[in-house]
Amino acid sequence: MTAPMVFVVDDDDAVRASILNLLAAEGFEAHGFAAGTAFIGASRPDTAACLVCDMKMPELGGLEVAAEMARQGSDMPIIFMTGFGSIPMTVQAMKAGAIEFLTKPVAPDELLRAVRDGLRTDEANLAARRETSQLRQRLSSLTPRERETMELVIGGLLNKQVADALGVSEIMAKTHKRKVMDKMGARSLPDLVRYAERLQIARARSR
Amino acid sequence: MLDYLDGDDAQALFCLEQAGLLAWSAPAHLHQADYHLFSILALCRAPGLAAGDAGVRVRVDAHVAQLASWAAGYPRGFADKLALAHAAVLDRGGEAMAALAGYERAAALAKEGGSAHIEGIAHECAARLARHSGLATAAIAHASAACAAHRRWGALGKVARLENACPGSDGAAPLGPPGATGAIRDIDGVIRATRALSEEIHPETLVKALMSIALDYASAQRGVLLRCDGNRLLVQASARLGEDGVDIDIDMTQATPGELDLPLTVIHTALRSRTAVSVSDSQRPPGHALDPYLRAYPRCAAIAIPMIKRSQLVGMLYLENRLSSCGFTGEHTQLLSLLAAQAAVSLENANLYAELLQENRERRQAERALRESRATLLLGERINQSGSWTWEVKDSVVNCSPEFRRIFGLDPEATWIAFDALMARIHPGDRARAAHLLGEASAARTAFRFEHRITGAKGEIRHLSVIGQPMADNETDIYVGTVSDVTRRKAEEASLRRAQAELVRGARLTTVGQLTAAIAHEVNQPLMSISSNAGAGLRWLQRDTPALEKLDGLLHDIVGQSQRAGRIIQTLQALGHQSPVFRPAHLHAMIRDALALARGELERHEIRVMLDLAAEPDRIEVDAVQLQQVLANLLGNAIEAMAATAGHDRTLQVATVCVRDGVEVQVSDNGVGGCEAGLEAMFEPFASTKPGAIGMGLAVCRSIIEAHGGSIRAQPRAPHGCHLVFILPLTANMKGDSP
Repeated sequence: MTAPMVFVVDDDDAVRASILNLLAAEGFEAHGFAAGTAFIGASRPDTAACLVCDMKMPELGGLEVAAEMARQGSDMPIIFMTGFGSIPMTVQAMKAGAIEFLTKPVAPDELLRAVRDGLRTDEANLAARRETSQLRQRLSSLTPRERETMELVIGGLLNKQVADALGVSEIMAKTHKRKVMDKMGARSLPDLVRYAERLQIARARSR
Repeated sequence: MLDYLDGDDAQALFCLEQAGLLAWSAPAHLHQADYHLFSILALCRAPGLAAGDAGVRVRVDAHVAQLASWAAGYPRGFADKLALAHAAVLDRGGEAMAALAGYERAAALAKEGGSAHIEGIAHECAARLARHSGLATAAIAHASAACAAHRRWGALGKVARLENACPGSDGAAPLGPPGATGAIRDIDGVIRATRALSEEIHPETLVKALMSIALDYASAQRGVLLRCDGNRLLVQASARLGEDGVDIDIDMTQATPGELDLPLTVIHTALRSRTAVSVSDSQRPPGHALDPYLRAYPRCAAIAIPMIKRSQLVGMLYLENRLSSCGFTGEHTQLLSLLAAQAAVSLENANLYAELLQENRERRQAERALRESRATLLLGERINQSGSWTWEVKDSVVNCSPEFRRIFGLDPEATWIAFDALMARIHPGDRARAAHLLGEASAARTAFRFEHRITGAKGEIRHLSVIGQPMADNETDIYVGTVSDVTRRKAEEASLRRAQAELVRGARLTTVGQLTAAIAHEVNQPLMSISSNAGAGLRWLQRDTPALEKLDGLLHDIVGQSQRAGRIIQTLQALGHQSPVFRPAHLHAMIRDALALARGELERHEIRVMLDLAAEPDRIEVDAVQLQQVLANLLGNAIEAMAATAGHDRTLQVATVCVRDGVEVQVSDNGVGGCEAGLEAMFEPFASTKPGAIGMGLAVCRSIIEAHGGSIRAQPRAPHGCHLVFILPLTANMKGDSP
């Protein structure tokens, strides 16, 4: 497992550099961007990560960056900073998915605490992210027949009913079901149903 | 003279003597000649006087001598009269034949000179003498000639009397020119015509009637009626005989006729001689031969008849006939003269009538306009809630319009009200000021305008605006003007001002908010950088093995960002702090301006202002804008402090006094003072005790006053209130300047 990553987006070079200094002194991997567009375009590593972003920037402001990330399906925690905070601005930031809204000058401890919180949150996210990607790999290993069988099984159909639906013998249906359970790594039928939900697979039929 | 002609010699003699007493007043008058002549004739015939009466003889000789002297100078005019006088003297002396010869000569001379009346008298005298001498034939001939002559100059009454006295005298062959003896045969027609003319009262129809009748009677084809306007003759109407009657054209333009419109020489001759002048093809006097009109129409017979009324020439009737070259007869002339005389009277009447109608119409219009404008005025006053008044200063009374009475709550029927009674209606707080203003204005006869309050019927305060000015061009002191109820307007203004003030405050807060955000953003960036770098440095230091090599860069960054923050603050200071511009200004005028600006608030809170501007000179060198800001701030504070109090008289005092090298301005209120909090602390920024204020006012005041080289301080007042005093120096070069 690689080290967590902190992204810093601030158009003010001095501010950005100082935050990177602080994060480096605390031992974080950190990467800075002078503009929101540069960050949006950069690739994300498969590690826990969080974003420290200024609210007021030319081109892409903090809120727009958050909106763009949400659109991409990213759940990376965002810590906003602003030179002058107001209540409406705070509300907007929170709605955009911020975990923190800090007013400059931010005390170093405060900023680091927020970063740690962010990374911890993302580590939990990361486990879920990783499980999903594993399941997706397993799902792709299923044959079309097995995939069909899985969609019927998660609907709670009996082996006989599955066999009827597939137009095969009950024995053949049982064989398919076992293959599916093995390939998906599911120890029980409830496990398979949970995986299917995680992968957003629809049931073909219900009892 | 008329008495002589009537044969009443004694009466004539008496009158002529009377005339002699008056004759000196008209030395060059032609009538003097007649006076002398008739004196001679009357004296010669006077029956009561003996032939040898020396007195009579002397008087006759004096008259004869006078006539003789004139005749020597101007034979044409006086030869006939002198000859008649000589004949009369001979007649008187009993020398019948010589007298007859003298009368003959006088008649001949008179005929030659065109003096028909002298000719007539000469023949008449000769006829009487011949009759007395038994020369019957000669008498008849002379009587006949006398009749003819008299008729020629129009003395028809005389003719009638002569004919009565000497029947058959007219039976003889006419001696005058043909027609001269012709009588007016169609008397009925003339009477009808004159009646028709006298019945018409409208000028236009009258003119038409006159022209129709004139053209008809004279058998003329063309007629023109001229009106006399001063020295000019203007065409009033022209008529022409058409195929189906008379076309009459009333000329509205009333132009002066041109020389090709009318024979002007004929017109002018008639105008001069005031007698009818007739020309025809066969009978054309040399004076008219060159007339352009007559040359253009050679076969034209024309007649111009002056219209005379009470010896005033009022117009001229001109007629012409281009078909008949023999011209107008004497009968025509007489008839037309009669018509003209009647027409002159009728026209005059018609014109007077028309003028009367016009005057009536105008008066009715004026009356209606007056009624309408009065109604409009009343309505306007009602709508505008403004009444009008007239103030007679000397009599100390005021005439008021209905709306004025309503505004003041006066008796609706009382048009006049005593000035003092009106003054008593004014609110006690404004009365002295109003009286002072009115007194000043009326003394200088200048216009005035002020506002004052009255107490309404329900005890409410109403605001009135009074405007007045002295009436022009009169010597008695009268002012006219209006008074308007501006209570509602005032209330609207006040609420508008409040809304405006709130708006300004809101805008200021918004601006302050925006400004603060911008400043905060700018300043917080370097602070953020410093803070983070410092945090980083601390962490490197706190490691088990401090990484000192990292600190160098961090500390450099911190120094750089600290200076960045400092620069931002400096820029802001330069932005907000503009150095004052000192110019000479009148402190008192500035104080009055500031009070005028605050007037709405002062009135709203019913604050009385007491001014004691005693500093002389009040000219100081200041930054006017900044000082206004100070004054507005201090007045505003005082008003707010007093607005919060209740139950006692609110008074704002503003005073100036000279102090050493400067002017001291005192602004004192009796409101809730902020002084207890600490006098010096009041001038610190953010030291406000007022809700909704940021507490910069007095701090700004102090910085401005100090920038002017002055000082400001506050003192508490007993029992409550605050006393703010600032001193501004007179700059060195201003000292000693007279205002």
